[in-house]
Amino acid sequence: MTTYSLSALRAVALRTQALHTANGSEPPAKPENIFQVVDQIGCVQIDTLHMVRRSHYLVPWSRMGNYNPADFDGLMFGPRPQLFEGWEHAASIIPLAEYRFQKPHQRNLREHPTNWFNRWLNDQVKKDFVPLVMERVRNEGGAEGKQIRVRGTPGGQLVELASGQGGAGVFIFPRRTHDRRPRKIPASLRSYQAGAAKMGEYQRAKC
Amino acid sequence: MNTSEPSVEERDRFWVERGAKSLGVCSARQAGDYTWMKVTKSRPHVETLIKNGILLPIKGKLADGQSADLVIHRDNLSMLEQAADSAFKAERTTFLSPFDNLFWASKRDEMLWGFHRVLEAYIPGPKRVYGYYCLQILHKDRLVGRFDPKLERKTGTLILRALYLEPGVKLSERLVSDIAAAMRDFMSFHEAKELVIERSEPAVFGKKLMASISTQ
Repeated sequence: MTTYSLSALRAVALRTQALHTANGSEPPAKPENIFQVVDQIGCVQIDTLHMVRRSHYLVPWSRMGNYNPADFDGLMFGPRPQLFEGWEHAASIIPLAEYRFQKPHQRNLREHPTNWFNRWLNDQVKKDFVPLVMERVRNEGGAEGKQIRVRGTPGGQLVELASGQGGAGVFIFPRRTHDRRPRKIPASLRSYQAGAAKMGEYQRAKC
Repeated sequence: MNTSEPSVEERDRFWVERGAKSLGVCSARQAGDYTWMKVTKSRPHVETLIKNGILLPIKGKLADGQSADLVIHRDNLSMLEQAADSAFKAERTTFLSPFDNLFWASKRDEMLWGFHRVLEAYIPGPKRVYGYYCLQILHKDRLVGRFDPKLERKTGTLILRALYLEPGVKLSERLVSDIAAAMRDFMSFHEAKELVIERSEPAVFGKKLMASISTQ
């Protein structure tokens, strides 16, 4: 059997990661090329550390050089979303075409909740809390989590949790925080929903 | 678009295949690392993918000179053969987040580069060796250094609290000017106008880098 050289192994490891292109020869910094990078490498990890730009913005920069981070956001929250936030290598941004691979875990959280949070969430579903929040968001569009009050309780955080269980569709939060306060729902959610609505399956709250 | 729910088996096999394909070359146990899968879970999928001819066993020489058993996705085999014939080379100079996908296979940075990526943000300050949030410096096909950045957003200043050159890396003019060009682009990406290097090991690396950035 051939033993491949170290330089050949490194070249393949870098090229499959889109890290081989000479500086100055990158594809133009257009949204479709940002998507192409994420699609090629599968997903990018989300993390809260932000000494510089957050990691999920750095990963495409490493591969294509300067680009407009708003274009990256547009791929998630724009009128025709191609990426969503889910779970792959920890919390990650993933091509929408691979959404179905989230479903087994979501089902598991719904049917076999192992922590108080998911049990509590299931209770809220039974009380129609989640569907009511979803209806509010659908009818009135994006709002801050604390503004969405159902029976006196802020609903924003619940929407994100419901999203983890697969009930809230494919909602994504551009400025993710790991605190316990209600999360912001982006103003662009309205247009995001228009895109999500095309996938009829996801527009229904079906916890 | 296919929205049907896959079985857990199908999902895990997809993710193992995805990992092996995106990593290019890796050991059999690393294929599942890409999607945070435990080895006990990924192993049977790797075996099935090898049996079905989707992953192919190969031998390769590692950074320590030892040869090792690795796997490659069949779609990447011709790329490996081209690389072995020097038909293409890695030519990029860039900086990599500690969370970059290149580092998602556990210990592959040591196997292929003799380099250890660190993330010290969650280590108490006095115990940090390099710094809070180091980015790694890729130069062509080597990992040649790292730096611990902090962006002062109000003043538009990018501060490198520490800059390091890996032991044994020669500080050539080309290396410095390539890193300087990448740093300028990195600054543009952060809308930073000023660069401050607080500490450099060796000191000459920081001096040459600053000089090269200001002349470009």
